[in-house]
Amino acid sequence: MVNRTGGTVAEPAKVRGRGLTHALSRLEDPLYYVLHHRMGVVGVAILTFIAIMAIFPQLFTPYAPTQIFEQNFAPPSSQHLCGTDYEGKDVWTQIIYGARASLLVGFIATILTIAIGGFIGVLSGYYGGVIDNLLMFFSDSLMLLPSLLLLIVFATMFRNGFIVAKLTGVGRWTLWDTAIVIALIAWPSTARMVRAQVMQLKNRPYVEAMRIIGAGPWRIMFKHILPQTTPLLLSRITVLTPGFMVTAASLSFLGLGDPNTPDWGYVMYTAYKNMFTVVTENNWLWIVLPGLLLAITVMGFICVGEAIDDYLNPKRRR
Amino acid sequence: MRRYLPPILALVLVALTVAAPLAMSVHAQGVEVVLATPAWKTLNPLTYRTVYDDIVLGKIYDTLVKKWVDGVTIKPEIAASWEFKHEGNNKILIFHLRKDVVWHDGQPLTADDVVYTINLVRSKPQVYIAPSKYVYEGLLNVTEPDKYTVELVYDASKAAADRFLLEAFTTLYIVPKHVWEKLPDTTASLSKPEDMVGCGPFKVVEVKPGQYVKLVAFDKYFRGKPEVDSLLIKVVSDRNTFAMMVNTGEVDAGYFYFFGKLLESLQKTVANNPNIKIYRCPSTSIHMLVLNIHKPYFQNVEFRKAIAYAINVTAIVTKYYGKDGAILGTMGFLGPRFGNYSYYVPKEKVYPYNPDLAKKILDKLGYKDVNGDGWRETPDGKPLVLDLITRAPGDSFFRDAIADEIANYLAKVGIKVQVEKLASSVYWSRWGKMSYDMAIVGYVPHSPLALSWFTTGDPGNVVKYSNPVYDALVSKFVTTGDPKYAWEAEKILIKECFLIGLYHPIVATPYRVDKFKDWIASPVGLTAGYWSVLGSKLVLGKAGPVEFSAQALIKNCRLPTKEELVKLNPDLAGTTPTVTTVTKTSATTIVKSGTTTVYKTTTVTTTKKEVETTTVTTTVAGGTNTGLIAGAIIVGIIIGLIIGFAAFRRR
Amino acid sequence: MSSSRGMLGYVLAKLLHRLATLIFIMALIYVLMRLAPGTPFDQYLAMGKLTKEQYEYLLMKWGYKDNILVGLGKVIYGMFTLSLFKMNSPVWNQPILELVTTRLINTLGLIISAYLLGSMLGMLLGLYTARKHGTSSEAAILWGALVYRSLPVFWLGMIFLYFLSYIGGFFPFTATSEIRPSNIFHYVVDWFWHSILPLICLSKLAAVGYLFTIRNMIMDEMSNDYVTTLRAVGYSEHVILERYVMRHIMPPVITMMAIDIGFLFGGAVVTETVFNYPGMGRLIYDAIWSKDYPVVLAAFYIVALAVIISVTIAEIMYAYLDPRIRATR
Repeated sequence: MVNRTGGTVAEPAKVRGRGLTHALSRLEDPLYYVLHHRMGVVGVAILTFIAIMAIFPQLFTPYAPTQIFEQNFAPPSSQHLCGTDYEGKDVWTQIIYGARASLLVGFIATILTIAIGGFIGVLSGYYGGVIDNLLMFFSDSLMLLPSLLLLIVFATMFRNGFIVAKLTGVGRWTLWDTAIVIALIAWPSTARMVRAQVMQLKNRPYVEAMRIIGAGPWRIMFKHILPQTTPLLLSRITVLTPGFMVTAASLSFLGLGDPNTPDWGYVMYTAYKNMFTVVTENNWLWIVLPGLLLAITVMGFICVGEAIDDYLNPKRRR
Repeated sequence: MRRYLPPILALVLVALTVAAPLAMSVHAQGVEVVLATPAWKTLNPLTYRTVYDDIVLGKIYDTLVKKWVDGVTIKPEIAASWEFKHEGNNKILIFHLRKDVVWHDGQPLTADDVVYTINLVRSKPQVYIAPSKYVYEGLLNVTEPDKYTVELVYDASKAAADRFLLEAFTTLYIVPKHVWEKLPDTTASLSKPEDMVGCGPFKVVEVKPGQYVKLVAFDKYFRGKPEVDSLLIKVVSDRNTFAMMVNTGEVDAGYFYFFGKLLESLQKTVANNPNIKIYRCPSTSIHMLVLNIHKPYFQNVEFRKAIAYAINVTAIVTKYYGKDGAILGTMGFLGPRFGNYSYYVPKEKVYPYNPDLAKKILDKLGYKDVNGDGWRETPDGKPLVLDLITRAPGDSFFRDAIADEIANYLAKVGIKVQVEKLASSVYWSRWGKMSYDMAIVGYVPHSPLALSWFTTGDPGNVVKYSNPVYDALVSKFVTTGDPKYAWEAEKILIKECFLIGLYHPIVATPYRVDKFKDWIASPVGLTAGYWSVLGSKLVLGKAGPVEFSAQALIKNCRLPTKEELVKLNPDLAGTTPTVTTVTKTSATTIVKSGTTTVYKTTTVTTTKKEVETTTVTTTVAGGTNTGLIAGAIIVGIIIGLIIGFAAFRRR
Repeated sequence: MSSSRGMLGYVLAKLLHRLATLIFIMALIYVLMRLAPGTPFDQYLAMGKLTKEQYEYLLMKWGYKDNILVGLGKVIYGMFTLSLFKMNSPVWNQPILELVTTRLINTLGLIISAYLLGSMLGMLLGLYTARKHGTSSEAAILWGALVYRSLPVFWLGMIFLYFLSYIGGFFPFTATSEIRPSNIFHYVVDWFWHSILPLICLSKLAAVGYLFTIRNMIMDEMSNDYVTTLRAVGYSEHVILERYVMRHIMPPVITMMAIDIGFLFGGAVVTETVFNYPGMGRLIYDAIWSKDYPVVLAAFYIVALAVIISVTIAEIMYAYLDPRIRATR
């Protein structure tokens, strides 16, 4: 039923029709592969753990993240596993709730990036010509500059919560803004990959056939070509999400985060800003733990990504 | 060929590392001191903007008169003496210059240079922003009767009072005419030693923007050669790094301050090190909670008082600054560092912490919780959310944490506060545009004249306060210098209750005494870390060092009597002024229902008179709405995983 | 003959394209900086240090009141006449050239050393792991690299600072030295002693990427039919790898390396922040924060130029090495 030996491009007939269950059943095979892959299974285990932490932080900590305790800079104790921060908030709670913020930013940014990248990639690959040249010119230009520097320019520009503020009336920087800004910078690589695949696909006979029976270009592009790139886009998730989590953490670390929903980068930022007291109180967990968790999550994604890569690339299957 | 690649690359690497920071310099002999400063921007004695610039420039340039180390007395510097004459509507100030002052290039300093400097500043006051505006305010004419005398003629109705006029001249660095006339751009930052000619105690050797400035002692300095022979002022961007660098001896002292918990950590670290001492001094600055009087709620003084009653400033300050880390902020803007000019009334004296009274006032004004959600609504039934802007975390005074504390106190009386922690640029632009309900802000008044920052039309009046009675009092104070007018003006501010004084930090800074012992805080800014490295012989002469203890400073202030306090706030007549917290127990119960967690914190406060039980309920709906989305996404992933496992089972 | 003319045309087209890219980037940054709220002087106005007239004058003088199109024209003109660098910075009140030079030297020293260190290590390990495919030493290196790759740069820096500088006291806290050592050897040692921690942090960005890329490329290449043929003919693995496989994978690797130079500038921002290193990244970051757009533009111009020149050279080399590319354009 499922093309086990197939490469990145599956047969078109399998995608259309039969709705969600079918789409999910298409995922069975890669999941089976990933779960039997040495790195894959490690990655899945790590991500499951982090996911539980993000969904049910209450399981791990008795406190609310906004709760302020009397003693600030308390050293680690049985009540406060990692001590309290400069404000008297429990650091351990901050870290646990940070998982949610970090994952959230990573996922939102990834979804936005894939949406923008997919759209532009399909457009540019299908039409070619001037549109392609123009769009690829933009993507080339964005790719050339160091993304972090460009991100900072964008981030300071939207510092007042420019984008989301207009929609929700919240006049400050939120996680959404971080995600949107990242997506605005990061789409080119995805767009290029999609474009390359669309350029192959658009010369397929079935696309010719659609064209002959009179389907409009938008219908062909988004109904018939884009779904073919799903495996590619899905594999992008495992590559982009950890990268974006680190990028968002870097932004937070540079002081461009959202203080109201602290992510791991933000917890490290406050630790760095109070490094001297952290040293004298010997509260090294405050510094080590958030980064370690971030690294572990990134590793989980890399492992799953490697497994999926191996799945998609039959040359390297073991 | 490939075999040679690694060694070639290695060679390139080595070559590059060698070529990296190319700079050669002279090896200095004698006492060498390293100072640290966070940054400097414009090294130009007439156009600089920040205190960091001044730290460097103050070592190179000199002024006509100078404040003495007590921060009040004005002493002769380049000017050996001065006199005031009053002729009709004119006030004439005559400076008699010292005859032994030499520029670093050997030329003598004459009245020519002084007149040139004053005329330069006067010609374009919008460009030369460093000196105080009182130098040229009402200035009619500058002349030089002889080579060492300068005569300034002022319009007496516009010029500042004698004392303040003289004080203004402590901000005016004199520049050499013969060098400045040749400068292509007299407003730009100077970086070449040959352009940075001053008559101060140190000569410039090298300037590396963003890294360091190297100075050596000027042996023809008119008060004698400084004890320190060479001085390196180095940029260190972060306080933590500075503390460690002092600890290891990489730097000797610097412009960084510590307080509260930070100071405790510092004391712990240096306790066993005899080479490190800690200097402490209360700062002139005041940190305040500013209520925006142009927002509808705050136009009513009763509402502002309710806010004041609801906040326990003493508790907040004690938590973050410890017992001796700060002086409680005065409600009248001028803190105890201004001695007799200060009408010192901390908030708890005149608006004691009293949440019940706050609730009563709010109820009376019609701010009631109509819909029963635990938060008060405005009289016309709209939700009441006040935004409180503050600096982003990482700011040196924990102002973000203090904002959270204030929000918590206000939540206890049912006022919802949205704390916005903003990055510096956004913060200042919102502060400047007054787009906030409440703001936490620090002011650094340099002289009692700063009271004019609340007069109508003053450039410093960012809060746009306008009151003709206040204006009249301050303008009288500026021209006469009589503290009585200052007190009356401060009383108005206290009554208006829109500047809730939080604290005046008592900052501390470490310094090393192994290379150089004679550290004296520079009189220009006594806030910790603005060191004068001349040595006590040149700065103090025969007098002993000056101590600043909080108690002594407060004793010098004008303290209000009980009757005066009641006059300031009639509410005080009825109630007992202070609520003493004797014991406080709190218990948190957690109720979980689905994804929502309810935290009930019950605090039992036993005071001398009554037992008060407050219950604060925090509802955490799995974080915020963003949390729900996160949950949904992650649940999706888990469902995917489960399907995967199912697939795995089937096979 | 025709081939070389084709090459020339290709190069010219590429250069024109790059020039357009450069102008686009600069325009984008200028517009973004101008649209962003705030100016460097707001703070001083808000604190009452500047009067309204002084504030307005400064805005006029430094072009914060220019029409955005006029300003854009000035920027593009400045790009070609290099007057971008002759301007003064409104915040520092100093010629940008002076401001940028010392930091550029500092950062280049850091970036290039980190880059060489990282890429050489990455390539060597990549080669090694590809050759030792399937052994336990490969697995160890790969897992190690994986962990190393996952560590955020700034966290690594913090850990180094915390354990090696604060607690251990082995390394200094700032990455620049003012010591003027007597001989060059001492100087090099001193420089390395000051810069080794940031170097390790920064080289991570290059090292692990190359390891995986090169390993994967070699393994992909090794599974090709021609390698099997070569093996059958009797060439040794060593010869196949060095003479054939490496030649095939070098062009994309060179392009990748060229593009990566730019990314190290990005990584430098974080590294320089952690280690208090006075370099370009920090300068750009501070300038963006304080809305000092002339400095931002000048600094971005340098970075963009560096990247574009290296990428263009790499692409031309790539085309030269691989004639198929020439044909497609």
